[in-house]
Amino acid sequence: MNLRNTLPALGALALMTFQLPAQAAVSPDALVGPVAEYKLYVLDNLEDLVSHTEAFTAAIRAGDVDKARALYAPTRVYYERIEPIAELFADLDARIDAREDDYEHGVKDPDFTGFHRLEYALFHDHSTKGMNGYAQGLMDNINTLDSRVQDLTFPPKTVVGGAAALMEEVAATKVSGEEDRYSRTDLWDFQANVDGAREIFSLFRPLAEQEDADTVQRIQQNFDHVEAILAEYRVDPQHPEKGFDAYDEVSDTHRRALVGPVTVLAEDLSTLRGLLGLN
Amino acid sequence: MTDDQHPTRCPFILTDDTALDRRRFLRGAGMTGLGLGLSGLCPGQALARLPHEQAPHRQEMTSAPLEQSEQLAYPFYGRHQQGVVTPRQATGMVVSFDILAMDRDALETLLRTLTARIAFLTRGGSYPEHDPRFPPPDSGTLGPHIAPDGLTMTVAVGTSLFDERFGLASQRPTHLQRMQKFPNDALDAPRCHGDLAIQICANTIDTVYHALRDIIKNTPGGLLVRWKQTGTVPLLPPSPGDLNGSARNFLGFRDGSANPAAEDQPLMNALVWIDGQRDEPPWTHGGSYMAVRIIRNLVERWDRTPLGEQEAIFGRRKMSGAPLSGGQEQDVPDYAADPEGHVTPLDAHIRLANPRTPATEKHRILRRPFNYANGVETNGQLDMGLLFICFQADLAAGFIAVQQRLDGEPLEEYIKPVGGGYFFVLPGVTDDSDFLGRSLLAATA
Amino acid sequence: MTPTAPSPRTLRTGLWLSFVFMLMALAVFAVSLKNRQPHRDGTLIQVTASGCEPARLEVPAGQQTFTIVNRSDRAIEWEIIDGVMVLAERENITPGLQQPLTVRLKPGDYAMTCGLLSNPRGTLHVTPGEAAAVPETLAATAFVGPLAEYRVYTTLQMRKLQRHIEALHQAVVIGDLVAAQNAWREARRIDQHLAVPIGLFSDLDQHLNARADDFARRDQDPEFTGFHRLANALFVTRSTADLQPMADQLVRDIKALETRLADAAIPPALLASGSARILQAWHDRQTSRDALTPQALDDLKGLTEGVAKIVMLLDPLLQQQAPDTARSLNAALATLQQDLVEASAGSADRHVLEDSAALAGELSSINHALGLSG
Repeated sequence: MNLRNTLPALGALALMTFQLPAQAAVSPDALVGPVAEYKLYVLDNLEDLVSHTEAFTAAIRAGDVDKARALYAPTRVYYERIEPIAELFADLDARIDAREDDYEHGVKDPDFTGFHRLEYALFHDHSTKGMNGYAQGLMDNINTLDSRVQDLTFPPKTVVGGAAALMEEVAATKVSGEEDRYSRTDLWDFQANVDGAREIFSLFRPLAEQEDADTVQRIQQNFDHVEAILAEYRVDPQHPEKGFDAYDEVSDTHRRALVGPVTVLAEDLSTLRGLLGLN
Repeated sequence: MTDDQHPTRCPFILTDDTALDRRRFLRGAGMTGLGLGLSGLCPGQALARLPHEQAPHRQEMTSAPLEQSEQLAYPFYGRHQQGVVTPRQATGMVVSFDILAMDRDALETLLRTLTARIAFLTRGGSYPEHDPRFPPPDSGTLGPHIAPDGLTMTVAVGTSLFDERFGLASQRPTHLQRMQKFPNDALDAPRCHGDLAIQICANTIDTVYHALRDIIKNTPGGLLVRWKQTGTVPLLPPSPGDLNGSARNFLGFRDGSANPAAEDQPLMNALVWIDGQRDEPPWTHGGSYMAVRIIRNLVERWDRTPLGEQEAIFGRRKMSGAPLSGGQEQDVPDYAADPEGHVTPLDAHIRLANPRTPATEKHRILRRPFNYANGVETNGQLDMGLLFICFQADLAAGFIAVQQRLDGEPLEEYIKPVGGGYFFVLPGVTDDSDFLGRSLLAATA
Repeated sequence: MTPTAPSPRTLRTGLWLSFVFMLMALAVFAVSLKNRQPHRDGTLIQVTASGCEPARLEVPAGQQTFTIVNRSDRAIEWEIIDGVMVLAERENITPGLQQPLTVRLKPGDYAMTCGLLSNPRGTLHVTPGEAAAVPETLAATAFVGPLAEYRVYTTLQMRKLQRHIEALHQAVVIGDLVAAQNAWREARRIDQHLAVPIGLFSDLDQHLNARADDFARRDQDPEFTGFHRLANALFVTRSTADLQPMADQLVRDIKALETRLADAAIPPALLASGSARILQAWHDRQTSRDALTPQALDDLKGLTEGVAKIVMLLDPLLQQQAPDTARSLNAALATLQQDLVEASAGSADRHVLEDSAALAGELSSINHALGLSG
């Protein structure tokens, strides 16, 4: 890949300051299709999330540490992709995806549950001892999430704003490598956040293009750019399901190369709601 | 000091007469190429605060700040950047960035953006009207109208900028290097070095943070904050008949008593600014070296140390700031009469730092430090100390030589340098067609 | 670095100017105190040392401005209280000064605090004035969420419908009557869920849902296809013989329906008006008959499930625009659902007939409440 190809990232600089976009002409009717498509995308991912969580938690209950470790990252992918929607349910999000930093007593805190609690057991303690309850809890919470989302009317603002939210998530916790600090599977989550953001962007792209073709073009290029760097860390480019190298192996140069386009994406995608007249 | 380093001041205050002042103002405005109406520069609220400008007898760089007007604006355009010999403002920050730009074109875009933002921020003004559907262009923390508030933003580059990325290696300033650990240092990697640093100073911390957030907002994909440290200068209003003493550091001592006079232009040319006399690439002319050190003070322990010992460690009286040999703060201690160190110990801080001999004259540095207080260490002790900043024309003869003389000083028991870095202050921006770093890029084109 | 020190004369001028400015500001302030314009300041309330004057107020619903004048000798706050909740407040009104407070009020009775806590509270009666009758216009994007969710619903229902139609087709091909009957029932239920959007396409609607009575030659008419044609064979003749052309046609029609639904933009007004129409149509067809057939009852169950989804989607908007309408709509739906559970085919129980008409009536009134025409 060509690391020197950063012009799209910096093209934002000049535009950002005196940007005063034209009045949005996007008709609300035009948003119905993409919002519906996005819910279908979320439902598909939820279906996968439920089935993968079943396998993941079954491995824990069976005491199969190796299998559970192997299933940890591929299971989380489906949660990370749909985070803008999953996050709407703050109670479940805390139980499913909170990190130890969110609790006063860290890993010892009795309220600390979910993926990252299990990550700590599997990758730090190398054990499933005492984890049955946490595994069952995770399964229950994922099932609750699934049933709540089925009935949820997706707020269009949340859907469109979700693209930027996912990139903010990447900028805040993925680049720093604090998301999966024991398993070092951050790149899986990174890619999943990018997938989720890109899905939203793709669905609304034809509408956004009518409003600001330059921004859309730059977003496209920066997505390509980020994915090109991520691709360098795939275990086997021919088999994406094999996932990614450990985050420790990402060079500082590449980490910095990721921050640039990720930040520009977060800036550019933050204008998407405005472009589409959703305030 | 040249005219163009003068702050422009509100013409309302000068309306009374003085063709001289008006000329000065107009010339300043012309030079800055602003073409602003008078009202833009000087809203009515300037009347609310008349800057107290009794001419101080000896206003040194390290004196407590006197000028607090929010309409105070230091002209951005000039041979040198502001923030070096500019009177020290009440608050300061050094923020260090990694440059994310990956090639020369992107670097130039970044430097042009920085130049444009700093030109705007230091002059003040209004942002374009906000469209409520979009994120606002500005953090809004200063309200709709940005007052200059004495803001200066001094851009400097680290030695890592001259690595293979941008093809600048051949033009690296002669003395620019990566800060090496001194014996007493406990450097914390995340708070060291950087590709580019900006010293941001203003009357109020709000203006400093507003400026930083504006820079971050306008350089996505260009800059990534690596570390930052803010600091303040204690405000000590001069009492009648008092010498305008240096501000105190967090060890309670006046800091900067022996600083060279920043208004002495020939002296600054000799000690601070780089010109053709030095063995430096021509593009560096008008620039300077900036050494930054985050020096934690172990204040609890210091406060449990007898006063006599504290004074012996510094070599000055704590309250008056006078040398142990007597007199007043600005009096020069007579080391020649005290070769054994009976009055001022040989290892006293001020004696090691500036032995006051003709041979050490070339080691003098222009200090511009701020006190910092961050929070609490895990052991319950305060994380506070000195954000040490100094400028010099020769980094090796300046800060590095001084610090080497200080190595092993008794003060080390109470201080711990934990971060910082060496940077090269880019030459000033001469007009609105120029930009920060233009001469460097041109020299390597 | 020699700062420019202003001459003493400059300083004097500055001081003098600022004094003049201060005088001018005081003058403006004084004028503003005196020159009270009642219509701009809204309702005037004076708070004295012993309470509010007047102590009882009546205002119409909607946006109201109150101007509170502190006639007591200490700083006060003034609040509008709804039950135990503070609805709006203005704090720290200096003695002798006044402060405005603007608040949007719904009809009802509220209390006002009047200075000292020991002072009696005042009462504020908000009448359902004109302002309350006109619902606020909904944002242009208000229907995006419900319409998108309805599209998700139709998409997912279409997927199920296709599965059942394929099963039906398969059963017809291999001549499995029981499997064909089961698949027909499942498919028909979904077809009824989708009655509103299918109504957008009259040709397909006719292919799928026309009855023998609609054709000149009744069940012998070659044009007679769709669910009812298949039902005749599966449930009356109880045979799958010669049905394959009909099953093929059904598969094609469902495929066509899927394509058209994917591109269809359903106007928001159709959600309610379409629901009213299909329920009314079912009612009108059954009302002349003596008893409900099992099929008619099953159809109504399917229709009601589809309508319930639409009511659920519109409910949040309706709650906001016209809570009373929302309440009676939900009540009508609940009654129909309850009676459907208890209803049995063939009985003389006509409750569901009345219920369906009642729900259709409620549905036909909500577009107005939502500010939609249609």
